[in-house]
Amino acid sequence: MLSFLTQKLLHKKWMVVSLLIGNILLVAIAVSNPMYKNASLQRTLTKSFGDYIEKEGVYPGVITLESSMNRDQSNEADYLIMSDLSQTIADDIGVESTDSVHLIEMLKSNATSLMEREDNTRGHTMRIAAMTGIDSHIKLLAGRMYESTPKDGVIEAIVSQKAFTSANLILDEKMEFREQLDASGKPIVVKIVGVFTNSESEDAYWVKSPSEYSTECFISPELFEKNFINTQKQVYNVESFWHIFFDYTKLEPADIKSIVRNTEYYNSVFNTKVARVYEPVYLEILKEFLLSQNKIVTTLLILQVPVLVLLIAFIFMISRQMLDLEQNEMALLKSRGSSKMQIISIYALQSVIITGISMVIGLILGAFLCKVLGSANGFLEFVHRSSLKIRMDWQVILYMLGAALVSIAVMVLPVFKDAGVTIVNYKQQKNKEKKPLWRKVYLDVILFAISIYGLYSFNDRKDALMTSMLSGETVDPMLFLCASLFIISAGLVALRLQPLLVKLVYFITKRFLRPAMFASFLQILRSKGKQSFMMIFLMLTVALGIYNTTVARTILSNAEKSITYENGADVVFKEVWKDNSAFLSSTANYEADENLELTYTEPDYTRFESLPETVSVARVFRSEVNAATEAMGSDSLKVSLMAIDTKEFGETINFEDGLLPEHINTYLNVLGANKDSVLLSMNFHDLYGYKVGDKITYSNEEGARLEAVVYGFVDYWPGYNKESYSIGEDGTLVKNDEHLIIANIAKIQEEWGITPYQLWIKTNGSSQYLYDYIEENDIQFTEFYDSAQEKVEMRNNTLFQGTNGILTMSFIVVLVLCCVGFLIYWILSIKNRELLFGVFRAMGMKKREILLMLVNEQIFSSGLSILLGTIIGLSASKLFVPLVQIFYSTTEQAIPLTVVSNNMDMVRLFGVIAFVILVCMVILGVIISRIKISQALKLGED
Amino acid sequence: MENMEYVIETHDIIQSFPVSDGEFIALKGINISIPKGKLTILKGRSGSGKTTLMNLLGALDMPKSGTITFDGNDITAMTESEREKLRKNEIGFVFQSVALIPIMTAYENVEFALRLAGYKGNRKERAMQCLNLVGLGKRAGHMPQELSGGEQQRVAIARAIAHKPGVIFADEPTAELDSGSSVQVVKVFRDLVEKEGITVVMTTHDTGLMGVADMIYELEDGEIVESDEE
Repeated sequence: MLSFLTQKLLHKKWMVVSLLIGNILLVAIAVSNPMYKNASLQRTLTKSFGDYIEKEGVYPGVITLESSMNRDQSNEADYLIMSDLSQTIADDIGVESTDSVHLIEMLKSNATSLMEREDNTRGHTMRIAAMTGIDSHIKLLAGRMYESTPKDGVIEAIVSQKAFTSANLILDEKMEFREQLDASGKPIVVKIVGVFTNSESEDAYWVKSPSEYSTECFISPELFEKNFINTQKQVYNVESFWHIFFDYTKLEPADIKSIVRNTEYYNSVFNTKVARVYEPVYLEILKEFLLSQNKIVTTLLILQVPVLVLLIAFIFMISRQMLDLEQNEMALLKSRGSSKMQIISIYALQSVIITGISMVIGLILGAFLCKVLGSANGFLEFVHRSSLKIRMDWQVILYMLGAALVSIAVMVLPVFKDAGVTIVNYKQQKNKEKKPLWRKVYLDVILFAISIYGLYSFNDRKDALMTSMLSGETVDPMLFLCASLFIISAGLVALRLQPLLVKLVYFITKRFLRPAMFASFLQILRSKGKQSFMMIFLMLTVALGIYNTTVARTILSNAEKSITYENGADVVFKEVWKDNSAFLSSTANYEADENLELTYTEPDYTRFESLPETVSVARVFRSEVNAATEAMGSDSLKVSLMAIDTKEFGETINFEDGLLPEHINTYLNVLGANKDSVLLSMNFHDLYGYKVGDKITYSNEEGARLEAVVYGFVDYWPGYNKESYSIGEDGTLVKNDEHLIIANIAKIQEEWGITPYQLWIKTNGSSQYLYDYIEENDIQFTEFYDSAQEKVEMRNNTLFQGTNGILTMSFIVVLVLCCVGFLIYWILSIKNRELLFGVFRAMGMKKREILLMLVNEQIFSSGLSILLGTIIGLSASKLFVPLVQIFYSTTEQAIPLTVVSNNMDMVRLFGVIAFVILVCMVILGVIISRIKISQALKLGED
Repeated sequence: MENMEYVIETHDIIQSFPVSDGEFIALKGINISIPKGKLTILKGRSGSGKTTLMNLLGALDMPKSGTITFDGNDITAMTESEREKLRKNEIGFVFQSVALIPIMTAYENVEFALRLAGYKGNRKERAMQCLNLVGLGKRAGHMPQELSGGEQQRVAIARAIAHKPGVIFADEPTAELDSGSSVQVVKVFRDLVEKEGITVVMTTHDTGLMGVADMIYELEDGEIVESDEE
């Protein structure tokens, strides 16, 4: 059987190669899902911790326990429980403890120096404390380390530099705690033997930095426990903290859910001062991660489904073709007494061999794909971040086996039907065409209707979708399925329409057709059963290709456009200005004196302008003001004011043409013409009936009023969101109208004085020079937005990266399949028709005519498929991308969504398809010219 | 053989094919003449070279050496397109395997041959006339797979004669048919010769059919071993 199989496979090596390609890709894509998902989730997780450290300067991988022992409350048991818990809680929660520290402190009390010092008689508020492991996390600035045994009843202690200076201590000074008596009733005396600071600047050990320990005298922990803690009957008031550290880079995405649950459990159970587990900072990070994890996992899976379906269809198509070619042999085997089971087992063995090879190569290819995807988007600033760590785990194996099983099923199941056919049935059935089931029951039309219904219901619920996304819910898979369903069912419907179209052309042109064309039309019309699979395949390829690129491009481009629009310029920041507030607060009767007011010193903004890399700078004053809306008899309205210098502004902003009916410069010119004029956001007109020429009054926080004349209305403006969304108390999405007044900065400064404004800067591309300049000159700022940087970060977002990665991958796979499938189909189809061509040739048809015939066939089958696929892909993009986009918008969409398709992508897609068809035609041409009529005719002799 | 007119004459034609261990000589210098308006049978066992010979006579293939004249014109000196033209206008083929175009009905098969030959007259009429001639007028609308083997072969004959060629080549036209169908097919050939004056060249190994021939050439191992004029 094996030798038979080997021979069979060798005989059909090209089909086997195609099957292998299909299977390898299937396995690779299938395994890349868990690989990429886990690796990128791991990266997201690590990154979110890293970001937190960068932002807050605090190590978030800490669990903190507290227990206070009070001599009046006899809560020694609680202390013991917490002490025990500190040993086990890391394991209980599910993290791996790397280190822990136990901080014990007595209550603060007065400590008096025993040294004769004039300047230090009052005494200080201090306390005795101990911290485990302190010796390896400090360096001594002066003195020495404490001894763990008291000498002559005096306990040795070290203090932080901060405590040393603030209590004005001297080395070897003895401090007496008169309120803290030892067992013999004498006050405790502590001798300051050393001053320390942290040995490393970034040390997780210091949950609070040493400088925050400004009153603590640290003594030996063993000594502390021995002398001041009595778990039978406590006599001192002692506060005890346990910090348990874990390495956040070792966290597994799969464990996060249980870690969150366990942490919440401990946090809720131990919530009193005597026994408390603090709500750790990592909890919030992990919860956020869980939200994005849900989103990532669902999105990645959903995005991969269409390409997996396509791959399975491909495998089915090829194995079906192979089976068709082998029907004869199979029927022969059957007639010669092979049982059905024997035949099936041959095919089963064949598919196991193919999938077996595919699993090995596919796994490697999958890992490779992930690596490429993960690192390709590593932008300049982020190359040092950990690259994707790809691991094998049971999930990968599961996906791989799943893919293999599906593939085997697809390859073997059709054999069950065919294996029962003997040579006699075969000859009888040979030319009978059966209508596929889906055609008979109009499954395609039904599915199409469902997808359209889904589309409309999603469009209806657009607001609700947005609510759920803004409240962090996960993607509704139905929407993505709807899009896939739309593409597939539309393809099938189009397949139904294709013969009608061909028929139409045929009937119109019938009378004038040359014989070759006539024959080719009949060929298309009467052999549709065999072509339909190739056609649907080509259609899906084109449609999916277009849809995928559109989704990817649109998501990215809209996110980038949003950033550009909302920031308004390349770099936007607000310097900290010097003011006279210090002077004012030191003046006692400031309130009473009206001549004293807060004044700022305006820094010289032109120093940014003079930097060579700066293209232009604009001053933009933004503030909340109250606009009077007497017109409608209501109270004043809180609106945003943006005061600009129109010339600078026009030169600096990034603003997309087409958002406003006229170019924005027209509006700026109108505004600039009169310094008393303002532009209003359109909702002033829509909601409050303001018209051009109306007067509007607005006032700042201090109540200074200004009157202005309305010169125009704008729907969009750099940095202006006309609507904002918030989640109401009842959980619904509340839409808030945002109003904007645009005024001349000269007028505002003249009336209200010069107050801190933003600087909008147009750079020559890179903003690095600004960072350098700001650092060099130690410029402080309160706001800083860098559009380029935000775009980089957005691109590095796992969801975006994953989406782009998978769409790119799908796109490539689709192209490969298209090439292979198309070539195989046509070459086979030509081989099958060699006899027919022989007949045509014998009847005197020219080679050229036969080629013409094939070209015609291509136009009306492949060409039409591509055309229909394009239409389907474009409509799917138009209809579904606006909805899909919702899942990627982190905030409200500020500017209207435009569905973006990149022309280069289209050129690539169609270029490859055209290339494949061309290659195919050349190969066909060669095959046809090689056909020896006499031999071709012999083929029919069996 | 007085007054006998010949439509095709061969002179020392040799044909060979490359095989794994060199050349296989299929025809070793054949000299035959095909009489016009008669039924000629090329007889011989399978492998004797009769199909090879017929392919050459029908301008489907070119010999390694020797000449073939068709109505006095040397086929071997013709260009590919001249041969195509010859086939289209002067020659009709009937093959052993039923080489109907599977996507066309019986009628369309015949009509298509007319289209290809650029038939000037009423194609519909001529196609039906030919189908009636082979006794299949009533089954004109059937697809090939709906016809029996004998019927298919008769459609093939109708197709071969549709554009009124001078010569019809039939390569083992009865090989796949039962004896009843064979007799019918041969009778159609005989009728064509008698009524339409068409020249028919047919290969067969069925000795039972020899009675209908006007001329018989017997081949063995690429050589003519016997020629009979009935």
